[in-house]
Amino acid sequence: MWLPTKASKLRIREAENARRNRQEIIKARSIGQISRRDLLKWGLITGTGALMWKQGLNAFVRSAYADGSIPTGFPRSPLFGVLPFTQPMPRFDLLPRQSPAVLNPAPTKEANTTLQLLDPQLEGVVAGDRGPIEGRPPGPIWAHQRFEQFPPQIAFLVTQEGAKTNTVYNPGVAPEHNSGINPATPIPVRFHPGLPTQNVNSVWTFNGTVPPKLAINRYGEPVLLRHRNKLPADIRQNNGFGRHTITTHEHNGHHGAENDGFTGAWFFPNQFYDYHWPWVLAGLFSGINETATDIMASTPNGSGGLTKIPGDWHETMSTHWFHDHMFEHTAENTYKGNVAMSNIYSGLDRGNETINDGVNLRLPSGRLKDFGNLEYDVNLILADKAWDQDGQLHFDIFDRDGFLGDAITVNLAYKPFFNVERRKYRFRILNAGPSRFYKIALSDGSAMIQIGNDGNLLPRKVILTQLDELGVAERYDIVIDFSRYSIGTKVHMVNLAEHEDGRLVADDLSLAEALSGNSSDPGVGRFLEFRVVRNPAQPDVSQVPDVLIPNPNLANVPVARTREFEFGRGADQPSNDPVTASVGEWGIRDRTGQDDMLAADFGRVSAQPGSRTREVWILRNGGGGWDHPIHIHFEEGQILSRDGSLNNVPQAERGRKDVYRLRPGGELRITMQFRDWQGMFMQHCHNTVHEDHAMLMRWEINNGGAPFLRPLPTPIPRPQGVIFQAPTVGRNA
Amino acid sequence: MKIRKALFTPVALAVLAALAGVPAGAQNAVMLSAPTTTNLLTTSSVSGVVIKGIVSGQPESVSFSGQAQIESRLVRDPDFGRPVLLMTVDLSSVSGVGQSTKAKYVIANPELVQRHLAPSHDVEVTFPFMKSGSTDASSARTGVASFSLSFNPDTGAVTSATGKVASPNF
Repeated sequence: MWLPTKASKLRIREAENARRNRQEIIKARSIGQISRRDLLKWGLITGTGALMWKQGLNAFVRSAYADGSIPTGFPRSPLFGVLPFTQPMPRFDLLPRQSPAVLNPAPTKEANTTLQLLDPQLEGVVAGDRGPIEGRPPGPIWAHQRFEQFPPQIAFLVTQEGAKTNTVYNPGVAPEHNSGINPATPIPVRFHPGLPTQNVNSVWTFNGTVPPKLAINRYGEPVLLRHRNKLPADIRQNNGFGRHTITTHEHNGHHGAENDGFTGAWFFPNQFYDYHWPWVLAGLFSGINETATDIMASTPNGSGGLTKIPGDWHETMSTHWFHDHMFEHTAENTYKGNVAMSNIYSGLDRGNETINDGVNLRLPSGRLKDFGNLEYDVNLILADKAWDQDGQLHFDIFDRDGFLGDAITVNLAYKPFFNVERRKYRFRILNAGPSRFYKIALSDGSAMIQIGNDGNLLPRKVILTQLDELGVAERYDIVIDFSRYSIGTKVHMVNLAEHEDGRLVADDLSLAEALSGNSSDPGVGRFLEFRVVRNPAQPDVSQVPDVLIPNPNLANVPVARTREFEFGRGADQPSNDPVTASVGEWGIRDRTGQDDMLAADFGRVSAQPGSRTREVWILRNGGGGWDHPIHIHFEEGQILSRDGSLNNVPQAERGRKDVYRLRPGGELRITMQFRDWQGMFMQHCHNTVHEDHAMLMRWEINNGGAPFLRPLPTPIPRPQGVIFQAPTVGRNA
Repeated sequence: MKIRKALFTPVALAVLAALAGVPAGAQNAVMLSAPTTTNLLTTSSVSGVVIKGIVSGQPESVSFSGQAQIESRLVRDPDFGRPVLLMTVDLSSVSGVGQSTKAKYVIANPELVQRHLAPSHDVEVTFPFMKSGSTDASSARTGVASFSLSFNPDTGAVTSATGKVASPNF
């Protein structure tokens, strides 16, 4: 995949030239100057999506200087002399929790269609054109559901914008819990102090800054996230990749679809979109604890007590993230920095390890605040990156098997260290993609305790020395007890999963192999160093109970329907719609009706499960040469079997999930419910490159009564205002 | 919103057309390679491997013995020609005895290993173990199970296997 470190200068130059040539096409594609169909017509990509093997275009073409058997390879990201584990890992940057009163204009139930003068640099806009200030589709279907019942109590104001120095960093903990980082010191956007600062349009993050952002949420406390698009109006100002239109998915919120970040509900520069996150327990409108009598369904009241809330406490969630979901451009935009995390606190998972009320699980966190203590509760974003010879972030959309970076970052810092005390810590680990799988172990082989999978605490803790593979968008919550180490010890997180391409893991290595440094994959090996620096100032009273959150009991919930989907290659695209239909290497087949493998079309409804029903979905990998982490939006599911048996489902996968790794040739049976909210959602591969090319389908819950129609009209965003068109409906929907 | 072609610049067009070696705007039909995903076949087999060995350390060394179960599943790859071996290394029938206390130690969770198909693989996995009946994670210790495995390249079945248990030494 990458050139060997001892490659000749000629070969490196040749590969770099290939990358630059390719970058011209990538840029043209990213800014809409050309489409995939154009590239197909011109023979620059194959029907399967690979860039043609033309010398000077594809870095993998046989080199004039090679011996004929060695591909030219890809230039490695230059490190400018930087060594691993020479910078502290920054904790996340907390989003200020503000009063909704600061929102100007005030949020509205339906989209705010107040007109503003549009920037003529926007595509399709001429001087004098006007368009709405909010990009949310207008009208009652996209109105915030139950807005009066759940008025926002917290406002998060965020922007999406180009890289700039952070002068307002708030990690939420003292420097001693942040490896000594002084938050008052300005932080430029760079992956290491020894690496170049990123240009303004090389990286686009929330608020334009690093470290990545963290939203502190609490059940029963509705949030309004106002996301303002401050990306360049000129679509060409992207430093080679990234689309300036965005849509923000709260992964995996049990919210109305208007807040889900639907892939076709994007908004433009100088618009905002109000996302309403009510933070309710699933089942609250479906007959479960509707009157809030069960203390297990509860939320911190701010003064050490609990407030009961309606819904099923078995559906309590803990660890989310939010990210861009722009149709055909999710990989570019998330890779470019549109990634943040959400912690959700509840009576059960309170983020306070001292309160002993019979509900609180007292997981490692801290004790100073009523809820949401972060001293010993640490978010980690894993993301593999690559940069060009100038050190600027680089991406290649022609790696349609999946893009692999050669530099592993944690919280957007290249191979950092993190100081810890001799006690238990909780780590909420997110694989932010775009394509790589991780398999995590500690460098001394010591045990870890897995307590959560995706957004949810497991029914029971699981003790492991090697975690299962972690696919893109999956989250593993683990606890590491550093009390076993003496002060001065260094222990590392290690990646055992070796890739040769972005399709799947080539080999799960042994720990010894991964530590040897002999892998051809630069993503293998140590990527985060823990330095045990002191004893805790106070005794560690945190707990990791055997029983965490049992799964919801579905025994009395009938299965309304079983559907079967296959995820594979060679998809057809029956639609010629220039906006909603994509073409690409990947697709989804509805096997229930023996349909063809279809590429994404967000104007096509492929499933219409009924409101307040439960279904079984069979997810089948159509090939042995790839893996897919399949994400189903909206409500958490349970895996009933893998390859025909529950025995094949690891203990750490037996909780609720929202991403389902198929494994090569694998088949999963999952079950989920459809309740409480309405609208259009998605199912897709979360290898974001596969998703963009075009392994995605729309489904919707649309029979809950007015204003919802069956099927729902498809939004078509324009700067002048969203219009709607009639959808098509799959014959088995 | 795809007003893409309207923004197309002559310069970019020329670059791309030159790279493509075809006239800009040519309407050449593209030959798509047919997918072959319908030919996917998988097979699986389970093999027992007797293993033993000692994990040294505090509070006591533990002598392990028993039969490891290795399930190997061959997943064919008609599209790219790189079959995959999915292995499950189940050590639940391997148990240990404390050399000082004679207490029983158990291993809980199977380990999943994904490899490309090859005639043989050396597979080494770490595993946590604890005293039987304990759920105290802080008492969990680590052992290493190593296997030398040969495979039938047509079925993925294990044709010969040896294994041992040892102390971690990383």
